[in-house]
Amino acid sequence: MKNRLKVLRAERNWSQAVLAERLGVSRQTVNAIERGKYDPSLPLAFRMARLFDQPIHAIFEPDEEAGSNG
Amino acid sequence: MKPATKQARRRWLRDCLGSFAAYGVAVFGAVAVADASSPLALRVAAALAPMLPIGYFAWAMVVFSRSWDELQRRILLESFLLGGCGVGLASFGWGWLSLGAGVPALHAAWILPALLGASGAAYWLVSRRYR
Repeated sequence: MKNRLKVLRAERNWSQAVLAERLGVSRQTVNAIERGKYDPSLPLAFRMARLFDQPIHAIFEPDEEAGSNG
Repeated sequence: MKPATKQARRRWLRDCLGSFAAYGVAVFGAVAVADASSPLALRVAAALAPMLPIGYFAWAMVVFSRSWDELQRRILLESFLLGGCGVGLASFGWGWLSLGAGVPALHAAWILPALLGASGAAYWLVSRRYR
Protein backbone atom coordinates (compact mmCIF):
# COMPACT_ATOMS: atom_id res chain seq x y z
CA MET A 1 0.00 0.00 0.00
CA LYS A 2 1.28 3.48 -0.89
CA ASN A 3 1.03 6.28 1.62
CA ARG A 4 1.72 10.00 2.02
CA LEU A 5 2.97 9.75 5.57
CA LYS A 6 6.43 11.09 4.82
CA VAL A 7 5.01 14.11 2.96
CA LEU A 8 2.49 14.87 5.70
CA ARG A 9 5.19 14.54 8.34
CA ALA A 10 7.57 16.80 6.40
CA GLU A 11 4.84 19.43 5.99
CA ARG A 12 4.64 19.64 9.76
CA ASN A 13 8.41 19.52 10.16
CA TRP A 14 8.18 16.49 12.43
CA SER A 15 10.90 13.92 12.78
CA GLN A 16 10.03 10.22 12.67
CA ALA A 17 10.61 10.11 16.41
CA VAL A 18 8.11 12.92 17.02
CA LEU A 19 5.49 11.27 14.82
CA ALA A 20 6.13 7.92 16.50
CA GLU A 21 5.62 9.46 19.92
CA ARG A 22 2.39 11.15 18.84
CA LEU A 23 1.07 7.90 17.41
CA GLY A 24 2.24 5.79 20.34
CA VAL A 25 4.41 3.49 18.23
CA SER A 26 8.13 2.98 17.77
CA ARG A 27 10.23 4.97 15.30
CA GLN A 28 10.97 1.67 13.56
CA THR A 29 7.26 1.28 12.86
CA VAL A 30 6.92 4.79 11.42
CA ASN A 31 9.97 4.18 9.23
CA ALA A 32 8.62 0.82 8.00
CA ILE A 33 5.24 2.36 7.13
CA GLU A 34 6.82 5.30 5.30
CA ARG A 35 8.99 2.96 3.26
CA GLY A 36 6.00 0.79 2.39
CA LYS A 37 7.48 -2.21 4.20
CA TYR A 38 4.59 -2.50 6.61
CA ASP A 39 0.89 -1.72 6.30
CA PRO A 40 -0.53 -0.43 9.60
CA SER A 41 -3.55 -1.90 11.31
CA LEU A 42 -6.89 -0.16 10.87
CA PRO A 43 -6.81 1.38 14.40
CA LEU A 44 -3.34 2.82 13.73
CA ALA A 45 -4.44 4.12 10.33
CA PHE A 46 -7.37 5.86 12.04
CA ARG A 47 -5.00 7.41 14.59
CA MET A 48 -2.89 8.75 11.73
CA ALA A 49 -5.95 10.14 9.99
CA ARG A 50 -7.03 11.87 13.19
CA LEU A 51 -3.55 13.22 13.84
CA PHE A 52 -3.18 14.68 10.35
CA ASP A 53 -6.83 15.68 10.19
CA GLN A 54 -7.27 13.89 6.88
CA PRO A 55 -9.50 11.04 5.75
CA ILE A 56 -7.74 7.66 5.59
CA HIS A 57 -8.04 7.50 1.81
CA ALA A 58 -6.13 10.78 1.57
CA ILE A 59 -3.18 9.17 3.38
CA PHE A 60 -3.27 5.61 2.08
CA GLU A 61 -3.78 4.39 -1.42
CA PRO A 62 -3.97 0.72 -2.33
CA ASP A 63 -1.45 -0.63 -4.83
CA GLU A 64 -2.93 -1.21 -8.26
CA GLU A 65 -2.52 -4.98 -7.88
CA ALA A 66 -4.30 -4.94 -4.52
CA GLY A 67 -7.03 -2.71 -5.96
CA SER A 68 -7.72 -5.06 -8.84
CA ASN A 69 -8.06 -7.95 -6.40
CA GLY A 70 -10.54 -6.40 -4.19
CA MET B 1 -0.08 -0.46 21.00
CA LYS B 2 2.66 1.66 22.53
CA PRO B 3 6.38 1.07 22.07
CA ALA B 4 8.19 -0.35 25.03
CA THR B 5 8.41 2.33 27.69
CA LYS B 6 11.39 2.87 29.93
CA GLN B 7 9.36 1.45 32.78
CA ALA B 8 8.58 -1.72 30.81
CA ARG B 9 12.23 -2.09 29.81
CA ARG B 10 13.35 -1.67 33.40
CA ARG B 11 10.88 -4.30 34.52
CA TRP B 12 11.99 -6.66 31.75
CA LEU B 13 15.66 -6.24 32.73
CA ARG B 14 14.82 -6.78 36.40
CA ASP B 15 12.75 -9.88 35.59
CA CYS B 16 15.47 -11.31 33.33
CA LEU B 17 18.25 -10.82 35.86
CA GLY B 18 16.04 -12.10 38.68
CA SER B 19 14.91 -15.21 36.84
CA PHE B 20 18.42 -16.08 35.63
CA ALA B 21 19.84 -15.62 39.13
CA ALA B 22 17.04 -17.79 40.54
CA TYR B 23 17.73 -20.37 37.83
CA GLY B 24 21.38 -20.55 38.83
CA VAL B 25 20.44 -20.95 42.49
CA ALA B 26 17.86 -23.63 41.59
CA VAL B 27 20.33 -25.65 39.49
CA PHE B 28 23.14 -25.54 42.04
CA GLY B 29 20.68 -26.07 44.87
CA ALA B 30 19.20 -29.10 43.14
CA VAL B 31 22.65 -30.62 42.63
CA ALA B 32 23.56 -29.95 46.26
CA VAL B 33 20.32 -31.24 47.76
CA ALA B 34 19.56 -34.34 45.73
CA ASP B 35 21.66 -37.21 44.45
CA ALA B 36 21.01 -40.71 43.11
CA SER B 37 20.37 -42.05 46.60
CA SER B 38 17.78 -39.42 47.49
CA PRO B 39 14.07 -40.33 47.65
CA LEU B 40 12.26 -40.18 44.33
CA ALA B 41 10.03 -37.27 45.42
CA LEU B 42 13.09 -35.16 46.32
CA ARG B 43 14.81 -36.00 43.03
CA VAL B 44 11.70 -35.05 41.07
CA ALA B 45 11.35 -31.78 43.01
CA ALA B 46 15.04 -30.97 42.54
CA ALA B 47 14.91 -31.79 38.83
CA LEU B 48 11.89 -29.58 38.26
CA ALA B 49 12.98 -26.69 40.52
CA PRO B 50 14.76 -24.82 37.66
CA MET B 51 11.43 -24.80 35.78
CA LEU B 52 9.97 -22.19 38.15
CA PRO B 53 12.38 -19.35 37.29
CA ILE B 54 12.32 -20.30 33.61
CA GLY B 55 8.53 -20.25 33.69
CA TYR B 56 8.71 -16.81 35.25
CA PHE B 57 11.14 -15.72 32.53
CA ALA B 58 8.67 -16.89 29.85
CA TRP B 59 5.85 -14.99 31.56
CA ALA B 60 8.05 -11.87 31.80
CA MET B 61 8.67 -12.15 28.07
CA VAL B 62 4.92 -12.19 27.41
CA VAL B 63 4.38 -9.18 29.70
CA PHE B 64 7.21 -7.26 28.02
CA SER B 65 5.84 -8.04 24.54
CA ARG B 66 2.55 -6.40 25.56
CA SER B 67 4.35 -3.07 25.82
CA TRP B 68 5.43 -3.37 22.19
CA ASP B 69 3.65 -1.87 19.21
CA GLU B 70 1.99 -3.83 16.41
CA LEU B 71 5.03 -4.09 14.12
CA GLN B 72 7.33 -5.16 16.93
CA ARG B 73 4.81 -7.85 17.91
CA ARG B 74 4.58 -9.04 14.35
CA ILE B 75 8.37 -9.32 14.16
CA LEU B 76 8.39 -11.22 17.46
CA LEU B 77 5.67 -13.58 16.23
CA GLU B 78 7.41 -14.28 12.93
CA SER B 79 10.69 -14.82 14.78
CA PHE B 80 9.19 -17.41 17.10
CA LEU B 81 7.47 -19.07 14.14
CA LEU B 82 10.75 -19.34 12.26
CA GLY B 83 12.69 -20.32 15.37
CA GLY B 84 10.08 -22.92 16.36
CA CYS B 85 9.96 -24.41 12.88
CA GLY B 86 13.76 -24.46 12.64
CA VAL B 87 14.29 -26.13 16.01
CA GLY B 88 11.34 -28.49 15.44
CA LEU B 89 12.67 -29.63 12.09
CA ALA B 90 16.23 -29.91 13.36
CA SER B 91 15.22 -31.99 16.40
CA PHE B 92 12.91 -34.11 14.23
CA GLY B 93 15.75 -34.76 11.79
CA TRP B 94 18.12 -35.47 14.67
CA GLY B 95 15.60 -37.97 16.07
CA TRP B 96 15.51 -39.88 12.82
CA LEU B 97 19.29 -39.79 12.61
CA SER B 98 19.59 -41.26 16.10
CA LEU B 99 17.08 -43.97 15.22
CA GLY B 100 18.52 -44.83 11.83
CA ALA B 101 22.16 -43.83 11.87
CA GLY B 102 23.21 -44.26 15.47
CA VAL B 103 23.76 -40.55 16.11
CA PRO B 104 23.69 -39.93 19.90
CA ALA B 105 20.20 -39.01 21.15
CA LEU B 106 19.59 -35.30 21.72
CA HIS B 107 18.84 -34.35 25.31
CA ALA B 108 15.43 -32.67 25.52
CA ALA B 109 16.80 -30.02 27.90
CA TRP B 110 18.57 -28.41 24.92
CA ILE B 111 15.34 -27.69 23.10
CA LEU B 112 14.33 -24.57 25.05
CA PRO B 113 17.76 -22.87 24.81
CA ALA B 114 17.88 -23.83 21.12
CA LEU B 115 14.40 -22.36 20.60
CA LEU B 116 15.35 -19.09 22.30
CA GLY B 117 18.64 -18.90 20.39
CA ALA B 118 17.02 -19.67 17.03
CA SER B 119 14.20 -17.20 17.66
CA GLY B 120 16.74 -14.53 18.62
CA ALA B 121 18.64 -15.11 15.38
CA ALA B 122 15.37 -15.10 13.45
CA TYR B 123 14.40 -11.81 15.14
CA TRP B 124 17.51 -10.20 13.70
CA LEU B 125 16.70 -11.56 10.24
CA VAL B 126 12.98 -10.66 10.33
CA SER B 127 13.73 -7.12 11.61
CA ARG B 128 15.83 -6.52 8.50
CA ARG B 129 12.77 -7.04 6.30
CA TYR B 130 11.06 -4.04 7.88
CA ARG B 131 13.99 -1.60 7.72
